[in-house]
Amino acid sequence: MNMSFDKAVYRHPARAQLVAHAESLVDGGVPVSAAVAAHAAECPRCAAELAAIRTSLEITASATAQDPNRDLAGAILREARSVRHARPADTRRRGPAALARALVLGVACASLTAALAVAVCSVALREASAASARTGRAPALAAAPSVPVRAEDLRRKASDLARMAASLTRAAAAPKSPQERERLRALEGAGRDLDAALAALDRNPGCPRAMELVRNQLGRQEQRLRDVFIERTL
Amino acid sequence: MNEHAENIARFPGAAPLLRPVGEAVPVAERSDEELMLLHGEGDEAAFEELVRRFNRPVFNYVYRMVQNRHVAEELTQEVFIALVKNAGRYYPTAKFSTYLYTIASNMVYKEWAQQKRRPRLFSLSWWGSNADEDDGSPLDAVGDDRACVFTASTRAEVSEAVNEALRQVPKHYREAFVLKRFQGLSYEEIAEITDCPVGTVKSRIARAEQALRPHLERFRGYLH
Repeated sequence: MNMSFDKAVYRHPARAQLVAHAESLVDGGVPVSAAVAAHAAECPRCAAELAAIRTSLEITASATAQDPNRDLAGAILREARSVRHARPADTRRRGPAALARALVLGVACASLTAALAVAVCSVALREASAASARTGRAPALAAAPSVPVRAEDLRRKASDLARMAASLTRAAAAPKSPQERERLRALEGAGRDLDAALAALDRNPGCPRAMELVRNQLGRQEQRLRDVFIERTL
Repeated sequence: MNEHAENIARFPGAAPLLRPVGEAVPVAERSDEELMLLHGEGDEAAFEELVRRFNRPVFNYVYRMVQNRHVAEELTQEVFIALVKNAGRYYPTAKFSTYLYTIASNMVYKEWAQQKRRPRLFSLSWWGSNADEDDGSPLDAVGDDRACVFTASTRAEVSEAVNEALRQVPKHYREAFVLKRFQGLSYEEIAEITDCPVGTVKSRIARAEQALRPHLERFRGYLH
């Protein structure tokens, strides 16, 4: 007997395929799957399953449809009429006046939203400025441009400040008041801190943290110089 | 070319050869899609025709799903009201029946979700209702040409048994089976309604059949 394993009989169709085939047999007129039919003709197990499925489908097909209440259609139409009258304006079929009204409303909404956004932003900016003023620190964005960002610039500024500090110290060989002495001592301290920060920057060239440290010390040194100058002139 | 003809041309899956809505053709001869477009234009006669064509199939689908006559009637009504409310938004991208059954399916799932939340109470309306009046005489179930008491009784019994058996089938399987076997929709339409692949629809129907079989065994003898 020359039987190949490719033959349809060896490939059992899936249950869904059997059901679809049984449906086509029960309903008639629908194309029947030739492969499933060929398999079922030779495979008794699938033939039995197909027969069982067919029986189930025939039984369900013999079940009659339920008739709704005779007044259902009338009730639907009455309800539909009341719904239609309740909302006479169809959203898709608006006249030009309604469209213009919608346009005006849209523009008003957009401008209101924009105004609200501007107000919120300005309040937020004001809050930020007030907060920075309270903490004594300039807002980062405002301070950034005045501070040199390259290491060379920082060193140049540090040497300028050191020269100024040296000239002030020389001019005040003997401080005239305890306040002035105090200011000079603070200036020297700030100078030492600045030197230490510069040394740290030398050890870690390009290190952002070291540069930040130098920048802060430059600010302090400026402040101390200003204090000494004010103390002397006033 | 009118506005709707343009809309139809925009969608490749649109029903072919729709007549312009303005053309004088009796509503009874128009396709479902044309009627729905006319209804969108505010034509009440078109809506009446749609209700006439579909109130029974939709009711039957909903009834087999929720297994309660009163709820099925209410939901059928809601399906058509949804059609009224969304008339202006309808585009014939698919068959109208697919659109309608999608609405019905959504209503059914909403009802099931509400049933889950609702406490289970004994219904007094059942007590007061007359069962004979509700289900009608078995003779109502067949046409006059086949009016035989035995056949009618058997059919009524089978119908009741099928409904009872459907109750035992998981909801997703039941939906696919009802749409295919009782509403006569294609696998592709059911796939669109239930929003799942055709293969899934086929396997759901197969599983539903498997679940129904033991409940229908006793009617094997009635077939021949």
